[in-house]
Amino acid sequence: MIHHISLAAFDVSTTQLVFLLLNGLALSMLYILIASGFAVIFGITDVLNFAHGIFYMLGAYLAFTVVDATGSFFVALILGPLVVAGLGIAVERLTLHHIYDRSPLYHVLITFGVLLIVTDVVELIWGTGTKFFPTPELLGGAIAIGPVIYPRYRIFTIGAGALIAFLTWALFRYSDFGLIVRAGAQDKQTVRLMGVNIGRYYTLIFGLGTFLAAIAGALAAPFLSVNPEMGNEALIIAFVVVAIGGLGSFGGSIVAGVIVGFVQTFTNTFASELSGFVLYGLLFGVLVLKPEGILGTYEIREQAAKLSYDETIKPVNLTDRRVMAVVGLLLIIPFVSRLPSVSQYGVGLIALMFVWGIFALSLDTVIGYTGLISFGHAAFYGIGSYAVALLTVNFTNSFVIALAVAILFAAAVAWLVGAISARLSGLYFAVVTFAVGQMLYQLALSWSSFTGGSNGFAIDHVMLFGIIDLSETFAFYYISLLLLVSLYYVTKRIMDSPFGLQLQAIRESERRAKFVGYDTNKAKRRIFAISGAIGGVAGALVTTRQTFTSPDSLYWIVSGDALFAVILGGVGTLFGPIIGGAVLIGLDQLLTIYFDQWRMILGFVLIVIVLFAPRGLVSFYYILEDALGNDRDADPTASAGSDADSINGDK
Amino acid sequence: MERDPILSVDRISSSYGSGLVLEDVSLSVKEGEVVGLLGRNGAGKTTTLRSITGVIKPLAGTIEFDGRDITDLPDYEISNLGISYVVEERAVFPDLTVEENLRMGGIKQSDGIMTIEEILEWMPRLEERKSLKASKLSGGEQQMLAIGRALRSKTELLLLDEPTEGLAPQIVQDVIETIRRIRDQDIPILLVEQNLNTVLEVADRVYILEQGRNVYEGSVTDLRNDDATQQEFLGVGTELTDKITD
Ligand SMILES: Nc1ncnc2c1ncn2[C@@H]1O[C@H](COP(=O)(O)OP(=O)(O)OP(=O)(O)O)[C@@H](O)[C@H]1O
Ligand SMILES: [Mg+2]
Repeated sequence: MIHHISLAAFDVSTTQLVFLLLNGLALSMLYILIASGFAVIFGITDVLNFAHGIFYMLGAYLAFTVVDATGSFFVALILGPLVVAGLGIAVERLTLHHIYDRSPLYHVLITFGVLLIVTDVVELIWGTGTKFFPTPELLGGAIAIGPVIYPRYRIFTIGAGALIAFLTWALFRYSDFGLIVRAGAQDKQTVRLMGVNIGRYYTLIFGLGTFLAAIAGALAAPFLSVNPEMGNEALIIAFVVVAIGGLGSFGGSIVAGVIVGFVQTFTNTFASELSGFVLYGLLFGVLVLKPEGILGTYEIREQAAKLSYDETIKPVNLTDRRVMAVVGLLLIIPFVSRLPSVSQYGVGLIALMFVWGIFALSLDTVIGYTGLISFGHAAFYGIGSYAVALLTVNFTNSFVIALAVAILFAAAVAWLVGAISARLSGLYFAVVTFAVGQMLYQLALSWSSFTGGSNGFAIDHVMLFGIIDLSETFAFYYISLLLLVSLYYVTKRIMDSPFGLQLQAIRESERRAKFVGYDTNKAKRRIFAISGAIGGVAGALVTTRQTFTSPDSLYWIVSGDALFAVILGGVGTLFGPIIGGAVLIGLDQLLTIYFDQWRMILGFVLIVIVLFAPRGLVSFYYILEDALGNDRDADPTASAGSDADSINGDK
Repeated sequence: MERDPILSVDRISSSYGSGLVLEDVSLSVKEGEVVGLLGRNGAGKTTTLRSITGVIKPLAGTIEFDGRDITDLPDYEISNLGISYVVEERAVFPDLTVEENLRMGGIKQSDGIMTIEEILEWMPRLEERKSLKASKLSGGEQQMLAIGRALRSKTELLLLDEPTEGLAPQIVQDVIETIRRIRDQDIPILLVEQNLNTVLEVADRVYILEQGRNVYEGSVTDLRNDDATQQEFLGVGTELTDKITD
C-alpha cells in the first residue's frame, strides 16, 4: 500500500519535472537568441544596444501583421526579422556608423533615442493592447513525450531556436565573415592591416544582431503575449544574460541563456514571489565575483574599460554674476505671474524643472567629471522618493528630517554601488549600475507590504518647520530653487577642489591617475556617494510635491532620461545638465498635453543632439558667444592648463 | 643595373596631434632590395611605417607605391595593394588559433606568396602548435606567426618593425634566417631595427633617422666601416649590437 502511494507521488513529480525541463529549454532558446544578438553587437562594435528589446518586439509585431496578411507563419518567421534587420542596418548606417570614435556614452544614447522612437511608432501602428497571436496550425496541439503531453509549438521553438543558435555559431566558427568578426573583436587595427574594411562589418553585425532579436520575437509571439511591454522585458533579459555570460561573448550568452532560462522557469514554479530577485541576485553575484562574466575574457573587459568618457570638454566659466541674474529673475517669477490662474501651473512646472536640474546635476558629477557611465541613477532618485514617503507615513512629516534621511540612504546605497563597481569602468560600470537600479525596482514592486507594490502609495503633506506646506506650489518652488542653487555651488566647489581635479584625472586616464598615486577606487566611491545623495534630494523633492510615490521612480527609463538630460544640456559643465534636465522635463510636460507619442519627438531630439551637437545646449551658448565676439577660448584653456599643472604639482 | 623603386617616400611629415614626429623624411625601396631603417628609441621609425601603411596620415609629403600615389588611401586599401606590415607589437590575434591567424592573413588576398601549408612547412614550430591559441605561443613563435601571417597576404613589399626585439639569441638567428629566405624570394623588405647586427647581416642599404629626420643614407658596406656614424646616431657602436632589449 505504502509502496504504491510513494510510486504515484514519484510519477507526478517526474511528469512535472519533464514538463519544467522542457519549459526551461524553450525559454532558454529564446533567451539565447535574444542575448546572443546583443552580445555579438557589443563584441564587435562596443555598442551597448538599448534598442535591442525594441527590435525583438518589432519582430513579434511584424510577424503578427504578416501572419494576418499572408496567413503563413513561416513566411512571417523569415520576412519579419529580415525587415527588422534592414531597419537595424539603416539605424547603424545613419547614426552609429559616424560616431564610433566617440565615447560609448553617445552610442548608448543613440540606441536609447531609437528605443523612444520605435516604442511610439509601434504604439501608433498597433495600439497598446495585447495582440492575440494564433499558434500556427501545423504546429498546434500537443504531443506525448514520455509521461508528458507537451504543446507542439514549444517543441518547435526549442528546435528552431537550437538550429538558429547552431547556425550562428557555425557562421562565426567556420566562415570568413565569422573569422573577421572574431578577429575584429580583438584588434580592429590589425584586421584593417589585413586589407579588411572593418567598418562594413560593423554594419553587417548590427544587421545580424537585430535579426536574431527579431526572430526571437517572432518565435516567442505565439506563446508569450505580444504587447508593448515585451520590448523592455527582452532588453532586461538581454542585459542580464549577457552580463552573466560575459559582455560580447557569444558562447557566454549561450551558457548564461540556459542558466537564466532554467533558473527562471524553476523559480516561477516553486518561488514565484522571488523570481525577480533570483534573476538580479544571480547577475549581481556574477558581477561581484567575476565581473567579466562567466566566459568573458579579461582582454575584452580591459578594452571596454578603456572606453571611458573621453570628450575633451572644458567647463566654461559661468560667472557668479550671470548666475545671480538668472536666480534673481527666477525669484520674482512667482510674483509677476501671481494673477492669472494658469500661472500656478507654470510655476509648478518651473519648480519641477529645478528638480530635474538637480537630478541631472547629480549624474553629471559622475559622468561628466569622473567618466563613469551610470545607467542606474533612478536608484537614488527612487530611494530619495521612498525615503520621504515611508518616513512621512510611518514617523514624521518634517521635511528637514525626511530630506536628511533621503540623503543618507541614497548616499549609503550609492557608496555601496561605488564600492562594488569601483574596479570596473566603461560599459561594465553601466551594466552594474543598471542592474542595481532594476533590482531596487523589483524590490519596490514585490515587497508590497512595505512599498505598496506596483501602485505605490500616497502620503501626507510634508511640512517645513511644521508650518510651511511644501506640496503648495510657491513654497515648493522656492525650496527647490534654494536647493538647486546651493547644490550647484557645492558641486562646483567640489569640482574645483583637489578632489575634483583627481576625479577629472580619473576621467582622462584612470591608469595614469593610479600611477601618480591617487586611490582611484576611493575617489570613485566618494563621488558616487555624493552623486547619489544629490540624486536622492531630487527624488525627495518630487515626492514632497506630488505626495505620492511608486516604483516608476525606480524604473530604468528614469535613468535613461537623466543621461539624456546630461547630454542635452552639455556633459561635464554642471550648469549644462541643469539646463538639460529643466528643458527635458519641460518638454516632457508640455508635449504630453498635445501628443500621446511625444517621447518619439524626444527620441529624434536626442539623436540629433548626439550626432550634431554632442556638447549639448551649452554649445549653442558657445556659438552665440562666439558670434557676439567674446574671446572665451583664452580663459577656459588657460585654466585647464593650470589644472593640469597642479595635478602634476601635487605629486 | 638600376632598379625601379617600388616604394618612394618623399619628404613626409607626421604627427600624433601635437608637434611633428617626422619632418621631411624620405626613403625608397627598390625591387628585390632589403633596406634597413635604423635609429634610437623614439627616432620615428615606427611612425614612418605607420605613415606608409596608412595607419596615420602624413600631414605633408607623398608616398608612392608601385608608381601609384597611396598617400591618401585608407589603410585596408594600401594592404590590398600588396604592402604587408608586421608591427612592433606583433599583434597576433590572441584568441584565434595559429591556423586561424594565418587564415586572417589571406582573408582578402587569396594571392598571398605562400599557402598556409607552405608557411607551416617553413615554420615547423608553428606546425606543431597550429590548433593552439596564439596567446599560448612564446614571443619568438608569435613573431614567426606574425611574419607568416603577413606572407599569407599579397606581399609586394614587406615592412618589418624590430622583428628581433626581445627575443633570445637563438630565436633571433631563426628570425634572421627567415628574413633571408624571404629576400631570396625576391621580395623587397623595409626592415626597422635597433639591432645593428641584424641589419648588417641582411640589408643592402640603410637609412638612419634621428629625432624624426633623415641623418644618414648609404650602403651596408659603407656603414659597416663607418664607426663615426655608428657612434653618432646609433649609440656606442658594437655595444648596441649586443644589447637585448626587452
Ligand atoms: N600613438 C602615439 N601617440 C603620441 N605620440 C606617439 C605615439 N607613438 C609614438 N609617439 C611619439 O612619437 C615619437 C616617435 O615614436 P616612434 O614609435 O615612431 O619611434 P621609434 O623610432 O619606433 O622608437 P622605438 O625604437 O622605441 O620603437 C616618440 O617621441 C613617441 O613618443
Ligand atoms: Mg618603434
